[in-house]
Amino acid sequence: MHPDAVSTISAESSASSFSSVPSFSCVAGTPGNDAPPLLELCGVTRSYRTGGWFAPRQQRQVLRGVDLTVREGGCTGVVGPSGAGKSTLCRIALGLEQPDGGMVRFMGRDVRHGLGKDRRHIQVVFQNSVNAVNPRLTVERIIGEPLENFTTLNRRQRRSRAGELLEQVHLSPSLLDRLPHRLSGGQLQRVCIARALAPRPRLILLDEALSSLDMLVQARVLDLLTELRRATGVAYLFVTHDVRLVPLFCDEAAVLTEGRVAPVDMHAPGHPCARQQAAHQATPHQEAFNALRAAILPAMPVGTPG
Amino acid sequence: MNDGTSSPTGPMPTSTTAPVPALIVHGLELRRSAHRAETKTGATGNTPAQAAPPLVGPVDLTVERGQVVCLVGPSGCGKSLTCMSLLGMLPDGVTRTAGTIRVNGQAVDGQDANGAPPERLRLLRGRGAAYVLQNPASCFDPVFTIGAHFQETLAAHQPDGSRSGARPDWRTAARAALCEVGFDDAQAILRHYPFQMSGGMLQRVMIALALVLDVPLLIADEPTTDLDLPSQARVLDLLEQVRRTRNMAILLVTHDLSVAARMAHRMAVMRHGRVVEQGDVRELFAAPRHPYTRALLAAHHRLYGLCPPQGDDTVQQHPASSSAAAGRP
Repeated sequence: MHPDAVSTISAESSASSFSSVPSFSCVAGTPGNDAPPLLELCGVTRSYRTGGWFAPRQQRQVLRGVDLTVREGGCTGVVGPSGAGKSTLCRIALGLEQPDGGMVRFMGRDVRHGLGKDRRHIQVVFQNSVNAVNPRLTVERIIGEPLENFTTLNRRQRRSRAGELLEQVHLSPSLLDRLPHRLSGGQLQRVCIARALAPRPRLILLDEALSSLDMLVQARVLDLLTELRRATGVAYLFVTHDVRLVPLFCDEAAVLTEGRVAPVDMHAPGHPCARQQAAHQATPHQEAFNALRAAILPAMPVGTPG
Repeated sequence: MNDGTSSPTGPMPTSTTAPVPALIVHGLELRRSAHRAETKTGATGNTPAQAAPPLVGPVDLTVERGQVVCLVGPSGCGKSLTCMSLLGMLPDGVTRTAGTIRVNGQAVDGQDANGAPPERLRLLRGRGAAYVLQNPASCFDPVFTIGAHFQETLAAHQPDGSRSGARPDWRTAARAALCEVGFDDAQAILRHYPFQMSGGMLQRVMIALALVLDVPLLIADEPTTDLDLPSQARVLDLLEQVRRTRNMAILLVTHDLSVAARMAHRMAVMRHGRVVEQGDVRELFAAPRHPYTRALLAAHHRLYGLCPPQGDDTVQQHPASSSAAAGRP
């Protein structure tokens, strides 16, 4: 369905388990992808009143007409500066918040008033995993919650599936009976990813979900998510500020700035995957994307020998 | 010299020799203690389980004035516990069972004898080291203004160790610190509440709170992790400026090697509570020795579209790398 691997960086193999770093493949853009749209936002607007109770009320327009489509089995990255409205966009896409205007469709149905029976098919992993879990529930119950809600598995089956999911995110099933405060941040984030995978959704929204993970875990989780997409056709909407990850993971990228979303060319000029469309070069969104890319920290220390 | 886990200690320098390093850690070991309630008094009065392997240690670290040392490692490796022990603050259930810590030449003992400081003052100790955390919003009391935080911090950490209330000129000191971290209207910031400020701004306020105590060592624990790229760059530029203008020593904890590439003079790689490799950052990037360091660098290079170093060979640039991977200064 998707043209794969224009350039592949293969993994370095070594005897030690942690040295087998997973490979990333650069997935080319899919201008010709005609899979049906899974999630569609058309002309979505949203504003908030600022000022609180005792200050003069002001209307702050966060989204001014957002158009965004994620296709079946696709992976769309949305980047933008802090405060641009990425989290608002996520909440509207999930049906947690109603837009002031515009249309939101998931699997062809209007979901502005909630997802209803399609709730299991769109899952989310947030940035702050500590706030995303009930601190009194064990890992087994946390991962098992969507299984309880959306499936008819019994307790033993749920525990077994939770163990499988933990292994999928490279955690040991021995963590099933742990409470969240006894896990590190990275482990808890992976538990949240396992929870999102549990009901086998069609779309997973990753709202800065990989930002806090350390490098090896981040690489493994990205590889895991990529494999899952190949195997099951799940789609991702990947909201992130780390523009380094976007070309490695996403088919296409869009930038949210000034309340609007527009697609951008996520590869640098000269890259084999870079699109030739000159129209992308001068838009404010492309410039915003380039500015984010310019803020990337260096790969090597200054003056590295060699 | 990149020679693995070398011990940096030596005789304490006299006034005629080089300046005292801001931080010397030697043989530090932290263990889970058997009796949770009695951990506040440090080594006395409790019985840590000596038979169990240490949570952290043995760890050796040195940070000179004007130097940035990056402590790099995965989540759960003990970086934050190590930092807390440097400030004499350990959570319930963890004690220091071995090793010495000297901050600016003075030994850091166990927990504060007066009991753990209030949660909101946890971010700063004022005894020679200040602490900047990953999630700045969690360190501020939402019902107090930024100015109130400065007043409280200065009241709690008088230079002579007393707690007799804020200096009358605390506003002047606070405004100066806020200007130093780049706020144009410091007076307005003092009147703001934490919720009115973004993560990047709160991080700069945390740094200003550290500066107002005028300590020689700043411990920054993942200060940029939750910030977007432009804010990250601003916070790191600010730390670099503070290092230069105040000759401050900085222990910078991060899991992102690009932060080490940008900031560090030396790097220490931590895993499972131990420092597995440390040395000059450029040598470590060019020729990592420990397999874990190599794995980290391999993941880092793939993020930038570079090929990982092959043993001691130079780094080769992947033909399809983006311009950002050019290792710009």
